[in-house]
Formats: sequence, C-alpha cells, structure tokens
Amino acid sequence: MRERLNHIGQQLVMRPKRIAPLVTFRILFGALMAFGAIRFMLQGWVEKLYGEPVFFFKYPGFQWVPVLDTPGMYAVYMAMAIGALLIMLGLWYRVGAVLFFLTFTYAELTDLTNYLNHYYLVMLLSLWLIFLPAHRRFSLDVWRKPQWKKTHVPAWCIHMLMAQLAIVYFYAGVAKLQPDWLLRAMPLAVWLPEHANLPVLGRLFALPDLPFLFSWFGAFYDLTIPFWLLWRPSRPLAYAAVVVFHALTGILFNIGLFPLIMISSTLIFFPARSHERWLRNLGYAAGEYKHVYQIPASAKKAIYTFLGLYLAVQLLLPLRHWLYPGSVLWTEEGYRFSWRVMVVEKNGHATFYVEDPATGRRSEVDHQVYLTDFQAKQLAIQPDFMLQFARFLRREYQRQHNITNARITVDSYVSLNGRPSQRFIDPDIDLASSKNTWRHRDWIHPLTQP
Amino acid sequence: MRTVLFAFALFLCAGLTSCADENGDAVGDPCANDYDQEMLFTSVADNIILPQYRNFRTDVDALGNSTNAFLAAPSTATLDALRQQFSSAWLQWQRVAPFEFGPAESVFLANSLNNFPLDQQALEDNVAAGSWSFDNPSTFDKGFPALDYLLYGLGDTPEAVVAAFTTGAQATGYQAYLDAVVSDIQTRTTQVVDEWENGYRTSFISNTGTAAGTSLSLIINSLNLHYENLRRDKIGIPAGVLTLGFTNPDKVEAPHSRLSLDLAKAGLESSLNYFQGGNSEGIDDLLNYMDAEKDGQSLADLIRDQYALAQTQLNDIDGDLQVAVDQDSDDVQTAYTELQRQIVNLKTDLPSMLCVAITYVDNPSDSD
Repeated sequence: MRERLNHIGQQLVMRPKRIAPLVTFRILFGALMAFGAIRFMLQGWVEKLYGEPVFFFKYPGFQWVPVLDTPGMYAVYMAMAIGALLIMLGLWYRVGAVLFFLTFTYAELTDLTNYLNHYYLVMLLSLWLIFLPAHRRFSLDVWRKPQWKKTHVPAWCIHMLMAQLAIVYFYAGVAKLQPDWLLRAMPLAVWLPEHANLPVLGRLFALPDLPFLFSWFGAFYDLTIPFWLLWRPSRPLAYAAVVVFHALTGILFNIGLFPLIMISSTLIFFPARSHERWLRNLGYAAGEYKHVYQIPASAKKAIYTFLGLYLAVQLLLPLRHWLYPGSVLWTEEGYRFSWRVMVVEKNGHATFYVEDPATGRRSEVDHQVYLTDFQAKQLAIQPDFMLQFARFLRREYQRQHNITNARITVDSYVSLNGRPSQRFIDPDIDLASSKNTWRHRDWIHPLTQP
Repeated sequence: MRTVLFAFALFLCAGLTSCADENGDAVGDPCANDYDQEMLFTSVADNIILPQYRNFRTDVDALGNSTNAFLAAPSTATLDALRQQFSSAWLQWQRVAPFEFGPAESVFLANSLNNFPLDQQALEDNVAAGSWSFDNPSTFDKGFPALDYLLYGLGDTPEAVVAAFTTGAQATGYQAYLDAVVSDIQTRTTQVVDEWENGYRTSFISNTGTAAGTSLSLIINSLNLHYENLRRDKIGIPAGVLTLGFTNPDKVEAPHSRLSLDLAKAGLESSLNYFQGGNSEGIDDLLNYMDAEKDGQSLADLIRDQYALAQTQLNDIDGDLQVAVDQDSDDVQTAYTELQRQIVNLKTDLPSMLCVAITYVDNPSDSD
C-alpha cells in the first residue's frame, strides 16, 4: 500500500514531463496580463479607483498598505505590464514574475472594494510562476543562455496548475449547490433578461426557462469540467465547452479578462504533444534529447510538504463558512477566497450615525463626502467594510469635531437575490467599538426569508 | 461522453417545462418579462411627464413675460406680478424635477434651475463683473434660487427691491442678471420640452427591458435620485441631521421668498405622482402586477402609505421652514424621519423587485 502511494506520488510529483504545456501557459498568461494592465490604464481606472477615493478599505492584516498618488499608481501598473511582458517573453523571467506578482498583489491590497475572485486567481497563478521553471525553453532567457534549456520538468510543475484550476471550477460549482441558484435560478433570472435587447439571441434571454437551463448547466459544468478535461476521450469536447461557456459569460456579463484567463489556462490540461504541435508554428522545435530540470534530492521533502500544505489550504479555505452560522451569501462570513462567483445579486443601503456620548448629539453621516458611489455600494452589503468605516468615522469626528469615542451605528437594509429587503445589522450596536475578528458577528441579523 | 451530455440536456428540458409555482406564475420570471412595459411608459409619458413639462413651459414663458414687463417698467405692481409668476413657476418646477434623464439630463436641467443654497457671493461677483456663464452645472449662482434672492432678497420691502433695480448702485447689473437667469431657465426648458415632443417620447416608450439605460431603469433611478435630494437638501441639511443637530436655517431652498416648505411639499407630491403614474398606469401597478410583497404586505401599498405619512408630517410643520428648524424642531425631525423611512422601499426594494440596477452607483471596473 505504502509503496503504491509512493509510486502515485512519484508519478504525480517528480516524474519528468515535457515542458511544452508550461511554456504555452507562460506565454499566454504573460500576454493576457500585460494586456490587462494596459487596458486598466487605458480605461481610466487608475484615476477612478485610486485617485478619486479619500478612504480605502483594507484586507485584514494589511491595513498598513499605503496607496500611492495617481502617478505612483500609474507607475505600479506600468511595472505590472512590464513584469507580464517579461513573463511572456521569458526574459529575466524570475525578475518579471516577482515584479508582476508584487505589483499585482500590491494593487489588490490597496482597496478591498475591488476584490474579485479572478484577481485572487491571477495572484495565485503569478505566485506559482515565480517558482515554476516556465522559461527553460522557448524563451529569451534560453536564447541568452542556451545552457538553461530544459526539455522536461517535474510533473508537479504542470499538475499544480491543473489542480489550482480544478479547485476554482469545482468550488465555483459547489457554491451553486444551494436553493437560490438551483430552485429560483437566482441571480441569473435577473441578469439574463437584461440582454433581451441583444440582436438574434435577445429574445431567448427573456424566456422564463432559460435562467434555469443556464443555472443547472452552469453548476454541472463547474462541478465536472475538470474531470472531463482530465479524461482523454472527453477532452476535445470539454475544451469546446470551455470556450463556448466562457465566451457566452464574457458576452453577457461584465467580467473583464476572466473568460480569456480560463480559456487560455485550461490548455494546460492538454498533453505535451498537442502543445508542441501548436508551438511548432511559432518555431518551437520538439526535442529528441532530454534535459530534465533536476530537483536536488534534499529539496524533495520540502516540495512534498509545501505542495501538500498549499493544496490543503486551497481545499479547506472555501469551506470555512461552515464554521459560521447562517447563510454565507447573506453574512459574507467566509465569503472571499472561495470561488463564489456570480451567485449573488445584492442591493442594500446603509445610513451611518455618529453620536457624541458626552452630549448625546447625533448626526447622520453623508458618506458621499468620504466614499465613491461604488465603495458605498460595497459598504452597504459587507459587514467588515462597515467596521472599517465606523472606525474611520470615529477618528474623523475626533479630528474634526473633537468628539471622543463617538458611537457609530448603522441603519441598514439588504435585499438578497430578489428577496424583499430586511434589516441587515443590529441598529444599536456601536460598530466603532466592535472588534474585527474571525469570530461570528452576532450583530448581523440572520436572513429570515427562505 | 456525448451520450451523457445529451441525456443531461434531455433531463433538463423535461424538468423545465413545468417550472411554475402554485399561482401559475413562472418561477424563472421574477422580473415579469411578460408585462406590457410600453403601456406603462406611454401612460407615464402622456399622463405625467409631458403634461407637467408643458405646464412648466407655460409657467416659464409667463415668467419671461413678467420679467420683461418688470424690467421695462420697474414698480411694486410689476414686481408683484413677477413674484406671483416666479412662485408658480418654481412650484411647477418641483413637479418636473424628478424627470432628470434623457433631454433634461443632457442640459443639466435640475442643476441649472435649482442648485441651492444660493452662493450669494458668487452672484454678487458676477453682477459686479458684468459677466457670467450658466453652463457649469456645479455652480450655485443661477436658476430659481438666484431669482429668490433677486426678487425678495435685495431689500426688505417691495419698494426697496424695486429701488435696487432702479436707483441702486448695481441697478443695471441686477437688471441684466435677472434677465439672463430667466432667459437661461426659458432656453433650457424649451429645449427639453421640444426634445420630448419631437422624438424622445417615442424612443422612451419603446425602450423596454430591465437593463441599465432602459426606460424602467431611468424611471426608477430618477425617482430615487430626486427623492434622496429632496430628503437631504430640502429638509435634512437645514434641520441639521448631517451636522450633529446644529441647524442650518440659511440653507433652506427659498430663504428670501420663504417658499421652502411649499416647495418641499410640492416635491414630495410630485414624487408620489411619478410613482403612481397619476391616476393611470404607474410603477405601483407594475408592482401589483408582479405581486411584489414585503412582510406580507403589498409593496405598492407600503410605499404609498409611507408617502402619506411623510406628507402628513410635512403638513404639521408650522410656518417658515427656516424658522421651524429651530422653533418647531420636533416636527421637522419627525418629518425627516418619515422621509428617511421611505428610502429602503425606493432604493432597495423597488429596484430588487423590478430587477433594475441603481445605475447612479456605477461599477467602475469589472465584476465577477
């Protein structure tokens, strides 16, 4: 038994595999990310997201991350684009990968408002690229230093990316196994009719059964696509499904580069000979000889441990919401980093109040003074945003009005997936005195409508 | 593999043909895609928006005539006539203020006609300099609030106001400014009504669906924006709700003509009217068509009841708003609270039930 496990481990982790899938991944990922960074700048989002706000919501543990001024943020995005190009070209590859990872992660850490699951995915993939020898073939680094050329890499270099993508899909599918998605076709029943004016297909989107078809197919697709991609007989059809599925979601929803990221990344599931065939058109010479990227024997144990830990974290993190009572879609406790994509249509409004404990004077807060409309929209539906904002308000009223320990309360209502609104937060709780911890926030009113 | 997919598709098709709840409504159609939106938009355009705009254009033209008469022969009599026209035009403005989309939005009608509180210093600077432009929507030196000051604020008595226009140091400046402000109101109003009459009505009616930019989304968003401004600017800020209870009587809408409370009442009534489509098809009927309920009650009724409560409380306020914020602060606060209670219905429930996004909260980048 133990021997058999060892054998499987050897097959999945250490066995040499041809490098071509990794090369394709590097080139497409680099190209897409460079395009993404440039697009971000051209859309004017640097000004919008970093220049306009005066207050930024932070990730827990990263409150210290400063936001640069607009020219500074432009420099960050330029560096990001350069890092991505270096990845694509395989030129000073590790430098490029580190540069991209750091600039991208920094940009994400500046404002939690802009959190997107696919940004998190990009961050993880680029973290992996730092460690993967994806530049050891068909790269400018190898052109500079031919002795770097390798034809084979340890299998984990490719399997890890497959595992990462499979986890994204699978958990996105698991997140859809809930009554709103399956029995009420929410939120697709709200989102699809918005496209009823599209030419040709438009009429379809107003059909009442279509959201159900999309919901059920979407859940089935997400849950099983990794397996169809792994299984050789179904792979071509499965990849066709990947292209159609992501193209469709790309047309229907405002999800930026995500469809392209998935369409290009899932090519990793194809065997090396397919990649070699495609890359040959670009001048890639399939190798007859074998230069295996060697891992020192002493590092093997560390690699096993790290891979095991990483996978464990990735597999458990999306399940942490089970540690909290109530619906994760409502409380958002354990919501992020869990591949819960497209399952929520939330609409809320929150009015904050400041009270001076010394005089009893009370004031409503005009949040427009501090927040952009988009930040305010996120604030209204995410409890940890409210805590951060409440603390900010306490400091602000200390500074401007000399009020010590102002009580900050909120009158807030949220409507989830087409339900009527209901009160979201206990209106009597002083948010500025509530701790931002991992514990359940008992001042979130539970969702009462089925 | 092909067989598996095919079987799955077949299973779905079979299962889906019977997706209806006990009332026979399609479960997958929470957005009432089968509702005749064109009928609703026709009703809103022909029973509310166009008649109110036409009335407003008539009032504004009359305001122009009275202004000319006053400028030709300034006297307490012509001033009195002008003041009458001014107050009826300003009240009528409240009845068209909610329609800030399409033609109105493209000429910044609301910002141009009714930014308040007036920046008196900016106005005086303009008059002294003898030059101005009203094309910047974020200045506070024009529109009805400027007239409020010019017709009531240049002197304590009608005689004093007439004197400011005839013998005062800035008489010619004030005359020119009065003329320019009224002309600007007239030009923009005429342009908006013309656009509605020549083409926009038709495209408004046929612009169906629930996506951003459709007429339903325009109605819901403009209704919300108007209501929020009404609550905050007309009552909230003067009452000090944003300033720790320290009142701001000088920030009322009409500090000189003392029309503030009447304007607020007219604004609220106009919001309700917009919601109900007057006596014909309106958003309330669409809600009822969808059986939209909250806490077991009809959402349309809840919204109407809340309008009524807020109206009652506004009616309870005594006298001038700028005095009442201090002298009758309990009533003002209560009125504000009732206005505030409606926000959740209009801003959260209405869009959720009708499947439209609040588009003045725009997503600046991608989502997922």
